[in-house]
Amino acid sequence: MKSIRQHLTASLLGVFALLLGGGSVLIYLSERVALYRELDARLQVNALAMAALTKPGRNEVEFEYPRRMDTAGGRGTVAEYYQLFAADGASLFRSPALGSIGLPKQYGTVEAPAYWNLRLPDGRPGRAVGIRFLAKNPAKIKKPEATEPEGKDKEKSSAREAKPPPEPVEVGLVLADHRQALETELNRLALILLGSGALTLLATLLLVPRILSRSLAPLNQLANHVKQLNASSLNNSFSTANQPAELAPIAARLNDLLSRLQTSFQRERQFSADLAHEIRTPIAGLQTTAEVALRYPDGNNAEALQTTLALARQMESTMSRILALARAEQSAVPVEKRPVKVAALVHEIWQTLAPVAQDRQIRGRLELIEQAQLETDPVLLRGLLSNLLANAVEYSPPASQVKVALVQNNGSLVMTVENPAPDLQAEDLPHLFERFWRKNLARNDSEHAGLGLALAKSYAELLDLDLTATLNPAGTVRFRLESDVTCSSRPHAQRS
Amino acid sequence: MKLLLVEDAKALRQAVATGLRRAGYAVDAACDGPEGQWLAESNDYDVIILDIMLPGVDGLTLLQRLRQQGRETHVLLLTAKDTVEDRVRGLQAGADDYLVKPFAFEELLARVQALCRRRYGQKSARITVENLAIDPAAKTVRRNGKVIELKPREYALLEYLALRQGEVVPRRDIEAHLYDDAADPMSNVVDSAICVLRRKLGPPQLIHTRHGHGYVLSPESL
Repeated sequence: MKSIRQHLTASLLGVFALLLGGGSVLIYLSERVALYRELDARLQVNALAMAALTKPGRNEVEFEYPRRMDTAGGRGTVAEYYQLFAADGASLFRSPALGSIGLPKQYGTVEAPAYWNLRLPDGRPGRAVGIRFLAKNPAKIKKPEATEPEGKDKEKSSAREAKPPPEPVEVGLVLADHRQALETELNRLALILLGSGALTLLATLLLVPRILSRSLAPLNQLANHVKQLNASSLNNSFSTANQPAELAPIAARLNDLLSRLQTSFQRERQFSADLAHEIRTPIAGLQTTAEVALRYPDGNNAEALQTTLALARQMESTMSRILALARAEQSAVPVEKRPVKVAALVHEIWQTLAPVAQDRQIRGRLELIEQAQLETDPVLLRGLLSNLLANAVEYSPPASQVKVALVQNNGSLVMTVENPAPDLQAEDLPHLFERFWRKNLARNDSEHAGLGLALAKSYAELLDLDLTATLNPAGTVRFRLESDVTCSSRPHAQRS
Repeated sequence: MKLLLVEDAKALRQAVATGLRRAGYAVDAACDGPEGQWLAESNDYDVIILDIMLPGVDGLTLLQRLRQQGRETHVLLLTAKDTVEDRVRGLQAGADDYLVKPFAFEELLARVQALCRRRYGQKSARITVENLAIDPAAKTVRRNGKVIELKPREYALLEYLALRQGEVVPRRDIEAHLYDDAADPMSNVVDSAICVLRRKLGPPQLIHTRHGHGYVLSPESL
């Protein structure tokens, strides 16, 4: 399993090692270049000095350098290894330290000498510089210029003779010196870099995980907290106070989801409790009816069976409604919108309610715009209107009037259902749409079990219709169903 | 014994009333709180069977009112509310027993009988009067070990007199406790019932008449 911490640690260490390594190499290289440049400069200076002391003479070339250096008494570094060559490659002068070994003949120009590393005759590492120049008379002192070259093997300086100035001679000079100091310096640097690099890496190896632990602690805390959640302890909300910026939105969202889950669970529990409660009494009725009939078999069995049947039907109806309600609340119902003629639907529903209305002598007054159309789901709308109208017909006092009106209002469709409700008080209004709520808490006989209006409300929400109830001073209750737009498709709203 | 049943669920109410009547009780049935209260205040019942969730006045309130009025009638709460809190609340409100729906009719019967016994201070199930043994559970009557067959009404009458054995029971009481509103009690009914009962029980006579006062069930005549 991937671990952020491990990944971070490895990446950080890797990158760090890389940077450290790269930096060290850069430092080393630049120092190396600098040191070499310094050495080369020195070599060049020495070479030029020697060149200046090379003149054309009787024997090709007069080389005053050794004598001059001796008399100078150690001012500046005395080059130990040098060799002067004629244009044809013959060796003119050779430093004593060289012995019989010759230096390689590599030349650059005076301005751009050739430099190379070599092994000195005494075995030490060295660096050589090679230039080709014209040995000149000192009359033109700036640079050693070419005069007639004549070379000699010995390093004795030739005496000046009163002759006409000789021609400049082309000469090659190779000068070498040890580079021990440079090497030592570089090695030292390398060691320092390696040592400090290693130490740094080690320290990082120790510190980085610790720092990561500390920084990732809130994440761990969050993870632990989440681990402890279970269905029965949804109360533990996450503290948003000390959360780092990255985790704060997560904590906030978790809190939000948890509270919604809790509400949902509570609703479920309440639902189960309500359901059990609702079903108990009809079941008790069934049980006792059957038990009494069995106990006294000579009694009125037909009546007992009728009662049983009625109870079974009542329970079935309750179950269906509860199920429909649960489905509606969970948005498990697909909504298919089509143009629906609302008035026709109302008429149809009213027809089915006619027997009950007649029984209770309820009069209906329907004032509907016949042509009004609504883009909605016909099945759900039927469910909504059935419950709404049935509620009115059943709870309106006997011999009263139920008024149903359908009007168009600024582009929206408004339906009202109004009936006398002498029992209702203002404080009952918020409860009207609650599940299992009935004005008279105990009416177990009704088929609706207090679910009719709750169902209507759920359907309304699914259809994006607004369903409200108001109490008029005249003692009537008025349900108002309003749609926002007529005859146009609306996007199916997401239920949270 | 006379019972009051207050239950709003029609099917249940009718089934329970029928069953209890068949078992020999006189039963008055009410379908809501106010009616129940009125009946309870107007009559003297041996046991009141009371649903809690009632229209109008809920069962617990009704119970508290009756207790406040000083009525000691035994009350059995019959309800769908089944949690411990509900039971405790019910009993603390003054109920004598608590039965949760759905229930077995037999259990209801047994509990009602127990409460009736308590009414008359009868602890043990069996009632004995000299050589007469009455088993209320089995509804059997033996005299000298021999079983006596009685119709339910006759049995009820005998049981009632036996529970109040040694007491002179006015005819009024017998009417009140043995006949519900369904029957139409005329003075004759009680007398003829006593007559039949005496005949069935056989000599020596256990039920004695106190003219002008009532009847008494006791071993010897006073």
